[in-house]
Parts: sequence; structure tokens; C-alpha cells
Amino acid sequence: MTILGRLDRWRAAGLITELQHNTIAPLVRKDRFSVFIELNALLYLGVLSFVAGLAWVAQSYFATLGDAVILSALTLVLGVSFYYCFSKALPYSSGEVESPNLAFDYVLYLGCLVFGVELGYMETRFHLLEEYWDFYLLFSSVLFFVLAYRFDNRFVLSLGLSSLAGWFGLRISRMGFVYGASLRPYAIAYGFLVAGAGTWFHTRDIKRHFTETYFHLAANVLFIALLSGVIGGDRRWPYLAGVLGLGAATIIEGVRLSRFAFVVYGTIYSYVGVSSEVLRHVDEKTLALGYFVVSGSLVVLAMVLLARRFGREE
Amino acid sequence: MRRYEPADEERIRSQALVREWTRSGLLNPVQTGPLEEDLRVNLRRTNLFLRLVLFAFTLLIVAASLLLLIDNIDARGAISAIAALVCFVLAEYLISRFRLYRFGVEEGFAAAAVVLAGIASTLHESYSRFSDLVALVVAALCAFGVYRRFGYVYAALASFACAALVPFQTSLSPEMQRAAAAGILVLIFATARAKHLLHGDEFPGDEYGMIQAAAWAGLYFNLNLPLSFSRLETSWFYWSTYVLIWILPVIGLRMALRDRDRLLLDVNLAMALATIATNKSYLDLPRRPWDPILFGVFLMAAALSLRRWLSKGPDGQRSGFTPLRLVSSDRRALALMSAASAVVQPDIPAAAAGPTKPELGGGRSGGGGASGSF
Repeated sequence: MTILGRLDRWRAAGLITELQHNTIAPLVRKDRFSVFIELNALLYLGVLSFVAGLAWVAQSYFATLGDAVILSALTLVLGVSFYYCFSKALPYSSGEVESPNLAFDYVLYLGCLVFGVELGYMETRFHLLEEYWDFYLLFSSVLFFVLAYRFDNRFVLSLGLSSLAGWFGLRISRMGFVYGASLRPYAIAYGFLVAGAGTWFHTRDIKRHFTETYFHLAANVLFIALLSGVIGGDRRWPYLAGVLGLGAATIIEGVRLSRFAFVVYGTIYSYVGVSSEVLRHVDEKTLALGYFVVSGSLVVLAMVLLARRFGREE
Repeated sequence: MRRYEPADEERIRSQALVREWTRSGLLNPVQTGPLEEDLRVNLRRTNLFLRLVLFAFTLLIVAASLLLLIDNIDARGAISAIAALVCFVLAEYLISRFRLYRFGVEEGFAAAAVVLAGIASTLHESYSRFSDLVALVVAALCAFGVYRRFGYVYAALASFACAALVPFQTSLSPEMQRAAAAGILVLIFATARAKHLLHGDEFPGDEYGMIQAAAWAGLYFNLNLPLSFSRLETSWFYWSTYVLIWILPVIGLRMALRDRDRLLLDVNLAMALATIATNKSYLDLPRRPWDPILFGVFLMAAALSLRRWLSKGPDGQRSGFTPLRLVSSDRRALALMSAASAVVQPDIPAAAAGPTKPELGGGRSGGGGASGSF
């Protein structure tokens, strides 16, 4: 039976109202077709491309154009963007606020990216903070967090989180398993800070729809930092204990809150940590393969039990 | 031929729609109970995340078991072939015994069966000269068999990808290889499209819709020479592909808009952007620093003009097309895009000033380029 046939049957049986039928049926028949996501994707790509181009032009032509022209142009874009956002914004609310229009979020995102380009340009040309230049990242991240919360913008929140990561010395876009020993504490501190901030805002009921962004980032940064200690560190056991403890916590909370992405993080990262430690002591290929068969089977068994008990259908 | 009843497949898709409508506020959560009861299926399912973990670990177990056997026995081809058969039988058994549906484990075994069959064919001495070609043909046939039996669309896509790669294993000229691959993909597209138009968006039409879009994207990728890392010299073929990469997105967008086919629409939008992005590479023109600015302005202007035009139509829509969000899945997609933006940011050059914290490995990021240098 087609879905339209089902809708008719449900309406006849009184399971849905006439109004609901008349709202849903046009969507099924595609009498109404939204291009909302496509328009958003075009705007996002447009902003990224535009800012990358601005940075490239500034880099290539600063000698020809001069600092004044470049900084004036960047400031103009920045000023217009922020003026637009502050003049069009809806009042602040700690709940979720819809953007006043389609372009609004991207104008703010454009302004924030241009702000970053301008700071970078000024420091490179005039060396204002010299060896303390990374405080630009801290300053930027604070500004981005304020703007993200004021205007309810997830793009700017992500920008703030990645800028803060930059200040800690981390590169979110290219995380790997091998960190230098000096980076690990910074990464762990960053992970806890982000998780703590997410929890703090959540418990105070401020922009709760941002919480998952904090936790996804914090979980991945913490797991990768701890795993780098298990794989490449000198004192591996504390890091392994950390991976397993965090793994247990993310699995339990992921199941409790039905956020199964965290169950995946806990399972995969813990498995990599344990396997790394076990295989370190195994020289024989047969034993190593046997380990994968047995451990893999145990994980599958545990996941099947978990899926049967808690893993809701989709 | 299909392992699952078409009625079950239809009910599962209807369940997903009912949940989407409930999340979007079109149905009251109280109403979903009786509706879900009406759509109940006697199949065991799980969510996407656990499914992925189960799939990955099943593949790990199969791979480790096979390597363990191969390590101790010489007849590698025979072992792989037997293992492929065993995996297929296990997938069948798990489905019939436990009524699994997209549960990950049975999918892992089915996928492993395809890979192992391909590997087994390469290890047969009689075909050693054509081992890659034979492996692709065998994998294409097996993957298509898995799709027909279990309905895994990704198996169909893998099958068609293998089929399209077959010409590249022959002694044909590079131009003829691409032309032959394009012919195969056009054939797949035409077949899938005919079936999609016949069945519409409901099962099995939704599967044909995905295959159609993937074949169209594959055809474009094969013909866009800079995008597919081709080093072909300028010739009639080269310029033919240049013309085609402009024509294909136009034809595709026309089809997608007429049929209101979202997947085909998104694929063709991506193709159109790829055509513009690779135009200078095709023409061997130098890239200018302001190119991304023009491209960005074009994209933003196109999006805003389209939104304004659609909004000014009667009831804020034109021919049914609206710039408004209608269902909650759009909101989730947007949230995913914004979260991913932490990873995808403009690649602005690294700082000239040296890092203050040595040995930091990861380097600086974020700040929208606050760490950039000029």
C-alpha cells in the first residue's frame, strides 16, 4: 500500500485529522517542495569561498594595494556584516531563536571569518603582539562565543570552539593519534574545558541545543589525546585507564540519553586503546589475528545485547 | 528473489515518515502509537550508530579469521571462495533465524562475501593475466546479487562502480576506456531512471532513485577529466568532455526540478559547482586570487536571488517550490552542517610568527584565519 493510501485509511479510521491529512498529503505528493537546505548550502559555500578569496588577495597584493586599502576593505566588510546583524537581530533568548531571515546566519559567519582574516593580517604586517600573537585566538574565541550566544548561531559557535582549540595549540581540522608529549596536557585541558562549559550552559538552561556540539568535540579531543598517550606515550597505563574510564562514561551516558554516537565513540576508542596495549606484547601473527577474532566477537556480542535492549529502531 | 517482503519494506519506510512528521510537529506524539502499531513489522532493527559498529566489527572478525586460515593453509583462492560462500550463508542464516533487518552483522557478512569472492577470483592462476579485470567483474556480479537479495543499495552502488571500472583494466586507449565507462554508466542510469519513474518515490522506487543519482554522478566524475585526475592531452575527446560537463548538470537539473527529486537535484547542484570550479583547469588558464571571491559572490547572489524570487510567488512559493523549511530533517541537516564547519574552514596560510608553544604537533587553527600570515 502506498503512503498516500495509508494516509487516506488513517483519516477514515480517525487516527489523523482532516487538517493533518491535508497538510501531510501535499508533502508526500511533492505539491510543496522545500529547497531550504540547498539554499543554505549555497550560502555557506559562498561565504567560505569569499573569505578564502579575500585572504588570498590580501596575501598576494598587500605590496601593490597597500595596507590601508586592504585593511579598509576588510573593515568595511566586517562593519557592514556586524551592523546588519545587530540591526536585524531578534531579541536575545536563552532558548532557540529562529534567524530573522535566510542570510542572517551567514552574514554573521562572514563577519566573524573576516574579523579573523583582519587580525591575522594586522599581526603579520605590524607585529602588534609579537610572540604573544596567539592571544588573538583567545580574544577571537571569546568574541565568537559571545556572538554565537547572542545571535544563536551554530556556525559561529563552531568557529569559537576551533579558535579556542587553536589557542590551546590544537588543530581541530587535522586531529591525529600522534601528538607531541607537550601537547597532550593542553588537549586534555581543552577537552575538559569544553565539556565543562557545555555542562554549565546546559544546567543553566542556556541554549541547550548547543550542548551536543560541545560534547561531540570534547569527547573526540579527549579520546584522541588520551589515545595518543596510550599509543605513543612513555607512561601508558594512566592514559589507558583514562580511555577506558571515559569510554565507560560515554557509553553509559550515551545509552541513558539515547545519544548513540557517544556509544560508538566509547566503543571504538576503547577498543583501539586496549588493542594497542595488548598487541604491543604480542609478537606472533597468529596470536594477534586470534586476538582480533576473539575481541571482535566480544564487541559484536556486547553491541547486539545493547542493541536489543536499548538501541531503538530507525 | 528478495529476502524481505515488499510489504515489510513499505511499512519500514512509512514508519520513518511517520516519525519525521511527528518530529516536525505535523502529527501529535500521542497519535504515533496507533500509527506505528499499524506499521509494525516482525523484523529486528537497530539505530544507525550501533549498526555501523556492528558492521565494522563483523568485517574485522571476517578479515582476521580469513588471514588466520590463509596463514596456515596454502590454497588461498579456494579458502577465500569457501569463506565468501560461508559469509553469504551466515548472512542468510542470521536473517532467517533472528529476523535481522539492517542490523549491521548480517550486512557485514554479505559485504564480506562480495569482497572475498573478488579476492578469490584474483588468486586463481588461470586468470592471473587478467586478475584485476576478473576481480572487478566477479565483485560487480556478486555485489549486484547481494543487492537483489538483501536490498542493500550500497551493494548496488559498489557493483556499478566495479562495472564502470572494468574498461580501465582493458587494453583500450584511455579515451575509449572513459567512453566505455560512460556507456556503462549511461546504461545503468537509463535503466534505474525508467524503474524510478515507474515506481515513484516509494519502495522500490526510492532505491532506483538513489542508483539513478549515483550513476549520474559517476558519469559526470568520469567525464570531468581534471576532477578525476586524468592526464589526457587536448584532443576531440578532451573538448567533448568539456562540453559534456556543462551540459550534464543542466540536463540533470531540468530532470530533478521536473520530478522534484531531491537527491538528483543535490547531485546536479554539486556537479554544476564542480564544473565552474574546474573550468580554469580545463582551459589551462591561471588561477587568480580573486577567483574564489567571484565564485563566493556568485553562490551567495544565486542563493539570495532564488530565495527572494520564490518568496515573492503566491503563498511564498512558485510551482510548489518554497525556500521555507517544511520538515525537521532540514533542521538536523543544518545542525550537522554547522557542526562540520568546525572542521571545514577556509584554508588560510599559516602564521609567519613562530608558535609560542614548541612541539605542539597540531599547529594553530580556527579564528577564521587569525593565525594566518601574509
